[in-house]
Amino acid sequence: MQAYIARRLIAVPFMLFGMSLLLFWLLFLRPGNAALTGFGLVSPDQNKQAIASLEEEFGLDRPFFVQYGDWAWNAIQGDFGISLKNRRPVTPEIRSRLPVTAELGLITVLLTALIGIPVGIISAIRPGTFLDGFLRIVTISGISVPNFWVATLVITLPAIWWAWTPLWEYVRFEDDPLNNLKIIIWPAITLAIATAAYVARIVRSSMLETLYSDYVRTARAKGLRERAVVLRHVFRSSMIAVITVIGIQLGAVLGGSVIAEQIFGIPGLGLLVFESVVSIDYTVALAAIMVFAFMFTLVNLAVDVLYTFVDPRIRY
Amino acid sequence: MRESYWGRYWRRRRSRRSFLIGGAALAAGSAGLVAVGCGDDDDDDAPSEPQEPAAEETEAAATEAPAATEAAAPADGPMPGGTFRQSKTQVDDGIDPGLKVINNNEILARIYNHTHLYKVSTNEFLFDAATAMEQPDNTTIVFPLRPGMTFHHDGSAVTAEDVSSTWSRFPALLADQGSQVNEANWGFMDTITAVDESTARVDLKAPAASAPVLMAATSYGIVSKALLDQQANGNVQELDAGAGPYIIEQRDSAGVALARYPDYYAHENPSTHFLEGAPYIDRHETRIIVDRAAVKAAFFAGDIDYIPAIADSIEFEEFTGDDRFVAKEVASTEARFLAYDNIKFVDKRARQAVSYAIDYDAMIATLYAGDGVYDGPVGQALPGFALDQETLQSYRVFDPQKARELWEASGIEVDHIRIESSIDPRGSTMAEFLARQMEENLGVTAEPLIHDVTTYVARAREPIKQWELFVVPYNASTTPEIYNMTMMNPDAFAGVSWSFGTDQPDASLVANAQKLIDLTAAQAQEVDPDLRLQKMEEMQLFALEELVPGINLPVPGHSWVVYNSRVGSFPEDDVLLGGLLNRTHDMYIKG
Amino acid sequence: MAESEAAAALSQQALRPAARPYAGVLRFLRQQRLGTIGAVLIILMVIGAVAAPVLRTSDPEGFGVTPILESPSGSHFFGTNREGRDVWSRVLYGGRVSLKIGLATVIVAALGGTALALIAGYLGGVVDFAFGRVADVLIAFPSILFALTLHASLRDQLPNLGQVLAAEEFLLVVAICIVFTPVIFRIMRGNVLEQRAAIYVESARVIGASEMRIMWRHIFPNLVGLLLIVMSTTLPAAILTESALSFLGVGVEQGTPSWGADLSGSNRTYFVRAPWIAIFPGLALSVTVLAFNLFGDALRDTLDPRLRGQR
Repeated sequence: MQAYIARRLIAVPFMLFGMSLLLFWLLFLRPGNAALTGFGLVSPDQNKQAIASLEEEFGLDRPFFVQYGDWAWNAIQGDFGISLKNRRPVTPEIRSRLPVTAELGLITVLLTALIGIPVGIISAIRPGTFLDGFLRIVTISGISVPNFWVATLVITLPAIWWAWTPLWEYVRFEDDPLNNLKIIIWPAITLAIATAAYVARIVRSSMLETLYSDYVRTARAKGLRERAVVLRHVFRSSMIAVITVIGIQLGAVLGGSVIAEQIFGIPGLGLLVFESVVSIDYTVALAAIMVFAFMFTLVNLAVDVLYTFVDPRIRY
Repeated sequence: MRESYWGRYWRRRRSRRSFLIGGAALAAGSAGLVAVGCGDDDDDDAPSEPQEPAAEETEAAATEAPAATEAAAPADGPMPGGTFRQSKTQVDDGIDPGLKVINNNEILARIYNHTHLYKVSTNEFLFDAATAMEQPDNTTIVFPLRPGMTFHHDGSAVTAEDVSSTWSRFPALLADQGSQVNEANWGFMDTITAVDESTARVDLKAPAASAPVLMAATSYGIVSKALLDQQANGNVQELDAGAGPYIIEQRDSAGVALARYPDYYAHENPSTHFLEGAPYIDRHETRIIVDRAAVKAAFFAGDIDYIPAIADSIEFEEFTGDDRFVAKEVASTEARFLAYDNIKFVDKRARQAVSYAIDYDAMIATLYAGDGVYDGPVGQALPGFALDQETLQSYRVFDPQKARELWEASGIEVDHIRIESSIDPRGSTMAEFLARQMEENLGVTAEPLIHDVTTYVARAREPIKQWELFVVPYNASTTPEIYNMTMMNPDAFAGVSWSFGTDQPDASLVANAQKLIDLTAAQAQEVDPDLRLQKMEEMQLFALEELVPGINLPVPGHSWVVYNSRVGSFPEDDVLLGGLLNRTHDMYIKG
Repeated sequence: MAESEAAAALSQQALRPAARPYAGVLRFLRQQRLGTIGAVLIILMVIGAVAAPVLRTSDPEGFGVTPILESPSGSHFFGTNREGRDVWSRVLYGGRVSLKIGLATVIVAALGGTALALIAGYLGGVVDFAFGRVADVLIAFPSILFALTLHASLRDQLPNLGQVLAAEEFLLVVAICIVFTPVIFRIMRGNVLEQRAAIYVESARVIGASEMRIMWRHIFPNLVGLLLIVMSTTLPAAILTESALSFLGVGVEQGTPSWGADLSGSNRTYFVRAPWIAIFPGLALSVTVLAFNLFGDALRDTLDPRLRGQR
């Protein structure tokens, strides 16, 4: 198992290398650059000079691989360069925004597990009942509703009905934890609708698979209470599927943060990614997306490792 | 109401000097918008453009009693305390007033002192850091500074040295650091000298009719020389180097919080706009809210006090008749320019064809919900200089048949028209509208290309354009020549962005560009008001006749201001035109 | 990530094509009531999209063709928006975009993913390894982010396909395909490998069938059932991705009716006053995705024998 984890760990840098190369290339393809737009009204001559001096300043006139190598070398040392748009160093910006999105992701995943797993279990132990049918419809609706629509309705409808809206001035967790949670909870709920529904479905189907298996029948036969059967035998074996899905759903949550942060006014990484990608601020976009991808990769690695603890049968 | 307002304004008797200086008066500007990061309509409080208000005016013009503001002494009069809350859509790109003037107005207008402000609605100068503006001759302006002002960072006094060093660094900032402040806004200054501790003198290169107006802009905020000298990079992008009524308490990706500067000198009420004993409000908070639906929801819920960028009369109706809000219709401050890529549209007939292919009345009916007027090179916000509606209408004729004939005759090799616009809601709808008009009336295919502001500006500046037409929004606010120079002057923006410069290969294009440069310069330096008007008209008619470098599209008939009624003395008439007049220090929160 | 669910639910055994297709359909209708509802909704939605020119009440892309911001009524079922366009008509046409892009994406991604899986499974070794790692890299990006970046980068570089797909739509298809192909590839590859080891493939090999023939005649037909399941779960995901991109302003051409785009841009200014312009496009999108999900669920239950009889 240690060998397996070591192998996975070794793969991580290669993955990151591949991802950054791909991203760098994609952004390299894109014409234009954010630095150009900083200048005010200049004459055509000044414009040409400005372009030339900016390209030199940011090294944009160098060949692709030189630029990439330079970037990668600095990135490894934790320096993502400076923003083309406002010339602020990128790393502190990322560092200040990362905890915000991480918190949103964490709370969403918590909500996902807290809602998704019980709903799935209830559905699975009473298959074919009215309750099961109802929950099936609820969960399948949950995965069908786009988060940007839900978010829009959540901020708009209460404002129409009660002149109330769950948008508050953002405060950092370390400054005011309670108010911070009050703010974060709404985007988290919005994002958790789909992921919780998804997890509930997986829990249900994987539990159904095991509920009728021989070892469960044996457990019942030896007189274990149903509760113990379900929790100890059935649910435990479904945990693998659940963990996998929660891991994968984190990708959806990270992607969803782009939308939720925009609508709910949360100053996180998702907002930064969106703004920098569309505004051709390469350095920021590159750093922010890589941080996202890195988080995602690590979570999936953690998921793989978790398997071994949940299911002793798995030996890598 | 617009008529009577401007009627009053322009009927006013004025001295020759007042005309000369402020002749420029009101205005439009911010064409720089594009240059700078345009179309940022739903920015914070005021139209976010490089150069804001601008002032004019001399003693003579002050003869008429300015319109009373509600500061006059309402029953629930000014009271200290409270927080003013607003929103904006983006984090600022830095707060050095000489370098960045986009997305940070709520900071620049409050942490920095300005020698004077220009109050658009009453056409008067308001003196702040300076106690007066003396003009011994046509090329000299002298500012005696107010005693008792101190900088936030160390409590040292504001001196003429600070003024001189702050303003002298404009050229270097543009050349070396990518300043957003256009040369047109300071190019008229030759030298700035500190005559003594408290007197600054500006010598102009040549008579400049609009200089005092331009000098009342956000970018002229006084920065501490001592602090500036300590900076290795030569700017105060991330520092509070001001002496204004508010100091920065917090500034990050969530927004900006400003707190009252306890050592700010007390206003002795230099005008009706300023509150005596101000500032009253303790804190000014600006939150970043990107989404428009969210901004509205927050405003309806009472979470923010001011809602920027009301789109049209339709949206305005949502707020009228609700006593939680004050909703007011004010003079229009919006302008739209449709630029050609002049290299492709070298043949005048092709330009005419495009102009004939646009149904201007339908545009007013649909995009502006019927409340719109025609516009010319000098905007409708400047009625003294703007051409009248009849004249403009004669150049803005919708005639699809003629359009097609001219299009065919021109032999232009364009069968697909790409219309670039920024992602601001009205701009993108307008591009879509125009694309439809081109398809229907020119027999070409057309597509609107919507880009975010940064990309859009980059696409304007590329030497080889990837578009045929370009829709630019800008806000009226400074002076006629800025209005023209930014959008239309080949020496500046038109040269860079619309391929309309004297460095182009085509002879007719160069001739047109040169002509427009000459005409623009002539009116800007003309000191006689009547002659200036004539020259300005000549310039406008030339641009209209030749359709260079683009078309001034119709504009909305009004702008709209809506704020929470708990705010007192809100500068409703000036907030859109004069960014600096959106001063928290002149407002108060009702009890 | 609906794909992984499909994968998780997949059986070890081969999915044999139904002997009598009718029987399958009948059984489906009898046993899968929710699936049948889904199928009916899909059919309605397809009819709405195809017959949009007939069912519409006004030009969805015209300016001021209806009164502005009118609430839902007999003549404008879903109300009208600020541009004076009938929301009902736009919802109908929006279905066209979603369906077109969703289908195009799923077909390309499914075929591409399967073909690559077959190639990887057939050649094995270095090719298999290389494909696998590329897929790893592509999957490691959160899908919306990756599609957003792809779209932003390729925006000015792709050709216009004319009548079938506008440039923007083509770009959306490309971006979404690149997101979903590796996922499908992964699922299919696992199964190709399983099939290769199956006894019937062994026997074919023993009687001297070429690898090519084995792939095409033996393995591929056995993947069809799985492919259908994967496609049915990818389709709603693709539609959601398309609408999210359009919502973020990097989707269809300005003005083109699209459920995602109609929830963004200038429309957002008027949501408080005219909530119907927010509610109906979102509802249409949700119901469509729901219908495909219901149908996909039922399809999987029917096609996957192991799950049969569990409810």
